[in-house]
Amino acid sequence: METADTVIVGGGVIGCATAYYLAGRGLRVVLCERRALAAEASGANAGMVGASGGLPGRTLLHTRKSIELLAQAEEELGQPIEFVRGGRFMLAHSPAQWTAVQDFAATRRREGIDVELLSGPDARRLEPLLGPSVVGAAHAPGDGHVNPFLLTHAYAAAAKRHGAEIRTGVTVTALDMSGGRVSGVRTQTGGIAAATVVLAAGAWSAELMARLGVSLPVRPGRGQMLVTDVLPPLSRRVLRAPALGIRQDVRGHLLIGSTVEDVGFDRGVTLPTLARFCQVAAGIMPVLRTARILRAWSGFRPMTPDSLAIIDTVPGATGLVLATGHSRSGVSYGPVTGWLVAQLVADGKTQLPLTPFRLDRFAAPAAISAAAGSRTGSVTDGHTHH
Amino acid sequence: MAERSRSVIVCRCENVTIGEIADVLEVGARTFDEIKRVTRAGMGICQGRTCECVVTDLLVEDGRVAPEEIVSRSVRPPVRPITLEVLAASEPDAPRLPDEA
Repeated sequence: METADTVIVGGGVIGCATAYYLAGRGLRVVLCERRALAAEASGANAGMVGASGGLPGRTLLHTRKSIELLAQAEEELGQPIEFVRGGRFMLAHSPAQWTAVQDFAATRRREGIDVELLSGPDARRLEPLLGPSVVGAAHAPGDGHVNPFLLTHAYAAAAKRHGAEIRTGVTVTALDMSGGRVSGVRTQTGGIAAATVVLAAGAWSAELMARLGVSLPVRPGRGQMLVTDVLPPLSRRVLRAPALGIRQDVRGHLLIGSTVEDVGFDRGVTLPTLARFCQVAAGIMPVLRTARILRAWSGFRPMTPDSLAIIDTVPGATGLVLATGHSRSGVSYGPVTGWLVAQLVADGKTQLPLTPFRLDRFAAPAAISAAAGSRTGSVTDGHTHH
Repeated sequence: MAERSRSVIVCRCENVTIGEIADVLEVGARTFDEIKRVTRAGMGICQGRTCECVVTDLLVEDGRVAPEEIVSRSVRPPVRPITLEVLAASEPDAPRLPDEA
């Protein structure tokens, strides 16, 4: 049986970023992706990133580190990723939304993230194409957007240059366990023995864990999106209203979305939802009315109950690291997740606390039963808690 | 593939050349969608209608994918480009999205 230091399950942005950082630490990494890199949620999103998107009091530290790492990645990876740091507007179109936007600005500023409040007229001075119904906006100048396909592939290519093997079309069918330790993975083409397995399979992570008797609280959340034909440059900013996000890519296409729907793995798109996107988008930016839609699609976000990722070891399964459940923010947290998981695996501790991402924060304890593997002597809990 | 043909454009919408496609085949792309994600072939206004044949020919000619294993490009609505205002008008009673205040 072939061996590796670490097997990574999943070739999305999380898996590929982890492969990059781990291979950079000199570990022998094999990444197994059942379809293709960025074939799922990592290839279905609008690429919005930024420090302001974290959860106040919990993960703003992480989102800020993540965008710093992303800015560095552009240079380090040596391939274009189309990272545009043009800022984000959180738009308010009603008094209630304006209150929420003020709170957004205050909570971020309190933790050192630059967010300013703009009145409607001031917002439109900076973004002249905003519709007349805008009441105000919170402006986070440090946020931005990136091409998630290019980012995922760039991480993978750089990981390969550091000796990692990136295998697509390889389905991991099971995680191998022996005496409370993970011993590798099984695929349709044979097994790979490894001391560490990182599970970064997004909405499909729960399936693999279920086979170990662990109930992982990650469910598919379908998100619909549409893309328009190329338009002249309208804005470099990410525009977010509570129900909709809009951003323009470097070629001029606009990405508009999204939803979170509990429909299992149904890949369809629905007309009323897409029509509502168009109605709301036209209110946000009236010139978009005549933009032509080229494509609509859906993707499955790995949703957790609190929309925060699960980055943790698993009691009773030494050597298994979960890096999944990134809900709606996988691209934003991708860089810092890879960076932290590499530390967890290589050093046994992380430079930022993983407290917000612990598996045991969920009500129902999720651990390998005593029958399946030893739970007691797990010396390697893995990381220190700050 | 002959060097001189590398600059031939395959996807006219996004100006993707034979050379760019050959390069991604080298690093493992085996389906139209995989080629599309990295080269942008098929992301333009015709959404791959024009270039799918040529890309498929290149895949078969390359030899790493057997003809019977070729996977078609994924096709999504709309069938042809439609403006936001037309799509908006088609469902005047569309329910509000969950996060709309």
